Amino acid sequence: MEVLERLLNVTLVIATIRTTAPILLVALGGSFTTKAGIFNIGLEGQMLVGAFFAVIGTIASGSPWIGVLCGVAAALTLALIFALLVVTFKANEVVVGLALNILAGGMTVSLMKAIFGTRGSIFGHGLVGLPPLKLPNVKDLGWFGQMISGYTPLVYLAFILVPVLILFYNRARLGLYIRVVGEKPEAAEALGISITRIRYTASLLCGLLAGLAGAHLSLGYTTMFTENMSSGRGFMAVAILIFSNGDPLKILLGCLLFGFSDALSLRLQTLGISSYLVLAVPYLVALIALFALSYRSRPRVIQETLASMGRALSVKSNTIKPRTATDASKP
Amino acid sequence: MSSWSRRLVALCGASAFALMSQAALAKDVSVAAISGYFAQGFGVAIVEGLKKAEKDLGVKVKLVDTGNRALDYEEQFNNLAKGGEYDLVFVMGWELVDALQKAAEAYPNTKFVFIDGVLDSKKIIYANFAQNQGSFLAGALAALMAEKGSEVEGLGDGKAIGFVGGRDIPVIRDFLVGYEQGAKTAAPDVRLDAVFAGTFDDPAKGSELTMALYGQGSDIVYNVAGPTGEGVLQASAAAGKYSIGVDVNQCDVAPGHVMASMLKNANVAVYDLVKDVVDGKTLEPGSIHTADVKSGGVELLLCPGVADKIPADVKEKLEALKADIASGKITVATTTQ
Repeated sequence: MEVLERLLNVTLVIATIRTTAPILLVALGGSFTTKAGIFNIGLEGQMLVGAFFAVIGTIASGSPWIGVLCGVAAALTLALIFALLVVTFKANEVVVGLALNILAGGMTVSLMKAIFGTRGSIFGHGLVGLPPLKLPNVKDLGWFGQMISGYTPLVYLAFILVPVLILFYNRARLGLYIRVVGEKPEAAEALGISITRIRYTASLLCGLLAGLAGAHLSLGYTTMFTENMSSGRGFMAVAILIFSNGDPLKILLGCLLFGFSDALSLRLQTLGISSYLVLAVPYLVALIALFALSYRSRPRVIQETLASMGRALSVKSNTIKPRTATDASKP
Repeated sequence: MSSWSRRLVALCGASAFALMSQAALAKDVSVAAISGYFAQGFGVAIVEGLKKAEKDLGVKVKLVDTGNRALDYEEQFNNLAKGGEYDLVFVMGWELVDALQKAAEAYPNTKFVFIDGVLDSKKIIYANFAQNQGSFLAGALAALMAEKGSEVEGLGDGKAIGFVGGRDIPVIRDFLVGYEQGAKTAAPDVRLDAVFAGTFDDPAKGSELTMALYGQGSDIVYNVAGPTGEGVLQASAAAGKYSIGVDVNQCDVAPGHVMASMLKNANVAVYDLVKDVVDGKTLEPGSIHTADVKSGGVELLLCPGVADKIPADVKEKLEALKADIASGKITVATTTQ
C-alpha cells in the first residue's frame, strides 16, 4: 500500500501532463500532414530547429516570446522546404523527411559551435524561459488546483488545441478540404480544390506546431538547448500518428498513454527495477495500446502482422528483438 | 698528446654533449591536445593545464580543435602523429576513440594520452579520475544534509537523497558506488534512490526524473548524466530544492540550488603528466594515471551562495572524510577495475 502511495499520487498526474505536452503538440502538428495524405517523418527535425532557434531568439532579444517566434519561423522554413520537395517536386516523403532530420541535427550542432564555440549544450547567456502560469483562485480547488496550475503556457496550448482541431476538421472549410485532399484527391480535384495549395498549407501548419513543440522543450520544459534534445519525441509522434490516423482525440489518448507510462516508469525505477527494462515500458505500452486502438480500422494488416510474427517466432525465436520499440524511436 | 689525455678530452666532450642534449630535450618537449571541446567545461581545464605547463615548464603546446568534422578525425590524428614531433598527444572526447585507436596502432612511437576514461588498448596512456572518491564526498555531503532535514533552509525530512545517471553503464556505476558508500558512511539511515535516464542528451527527462525523486522525499539529487543532468540542476531551481554538479564547476547552472560540484581537475592531471615527461620519466603505454583526492585531481567544491547554509559540523565531517580517503584509511569501492 505504501508503495502504491509512493507511485500513484497527484505528482504522477502532473508529471504525466508535463511529459505528454511536447509530444502532443508535435503530434497535433503532424495530424495536418497526415490528414492531407503526407507521411511526414520530419517532425523530429522541425522540433529540433524550433528548440534551437527559440533559444537563439531569446538570447538575442531577451524575450522568450520573441524566441518562440524565432523557433516557429525556423520550423516553418524547414516545413516549407519539405513541402517544396515533396509536393512540388514529388520527391519521396520518407527520404526528404529523413534528410531534413539529419540536416537539423547537423545544422544545430554546427551553428552552436559557430555562435557559442561549444558543443553539448547552451544555457546562461541571459537565457530566460517562459514563465509558468499560476491560474487564479486555484487554491480553493485543493489537489485539483495543484494539478491544473503552474505549467508553462505552451502546455495549456497543447491541450486546448485538441478540441480546437476536432472542430477544425469537422466544421472549418480548410479542415474539410485537408481531409478531402488526403482521403480522395480525385474528388478534391473534381471540386476544384488545389491539392498543391492545401498540402502546402497543411505542411506549414504542421511546421507551426512542431516549432512550438520545440520551443516548449527549450524554453518551457527546460531553459536550455542541448544537441539532439528532441530525443525521439518527434518519432514517437510519428508512431502515434500512424495508428491514430491523425484524429485529434486518438492522438490525445495515445500521447497521454505514452506520457503516463513514461511518468510511471520513471517512478518504478526507484523501486529497484532495472532501468533498461523500465525505460522500454512506455514505448511498449504505447505501441501495444495503439495496435489495439487501430485494430478495428485495419484488422487485416494487424492479423497479417501477427501471423508473420508468429511464423518468424516459430522458425527462429531470436529473430524478433525485444527492444525494437525503443530502437525505432531513436534517430 | 698521450692516449691518456686524449681519452680524457673525449670523455669530457661526451659528457658535455650528454649534458647539452639533456638540456635540449627538456627545452624541446612539445605536447599536443586534440578535442572538440576546448571552449567548454572539461576542455577549458585541459587548456588551462597546458598553458600552465607552457609557462612554468617551457614546453611547446599545440591545440587541435576537431570541430565536428567527424569524417576526418583519422586524418587529423595522422597530421599530428606523422611528424613525430610531439612527446605527448592528449585526446579528449569519446567520439575520437575509434580514430585514436587506429592512430595508436599506426604510430607506436607517439604517446597518446586519453583523458577521462580507460579503453582496452594497451598502446595508449590513460589519464583517469577517481570519480568514485569525489562521488564519495558528494554522497557524504548529501546524506549529512538530508539527516539535518528541515533544520536547513529548503530541506524536508524525507531522509532520502537521489542520484540521476545517464545510462546504466560501468562508468556511471563507478560514481554511484562511491556516492552510495559516502552516504552510508556519513549517515547510514538516509535512503538512496538511484535512477537512470537511459540517455545523455535529454534534459527534459533529467528534469522529470528529478521531480519524481523530489516527490518521493529526496531533497538533494546528484547528476551524472551530461546534458540530461543539466536538466536535473534546472529542476532543483524550479522546485526550490538542491542538486549536486559533476565533472566541472556547475554551480552557475542553477545558482543557489546547486549545493556543490564534484570536480575532475583536468588541469592538474594534464600538468602532472607533462611535468613527468619534462622530468625525464617514461610514461609506459597502457599505464593508467589516476588523479585522485590526494593529488587534488578530484575534489568536492561547495558552491558559493549555498556553502554558508551548510552547518559547520557537516563541513568538518567532510574534511575528516577527505583526509581519510587521502591517507588511505578509507578505500572507496570502484566498478571500473
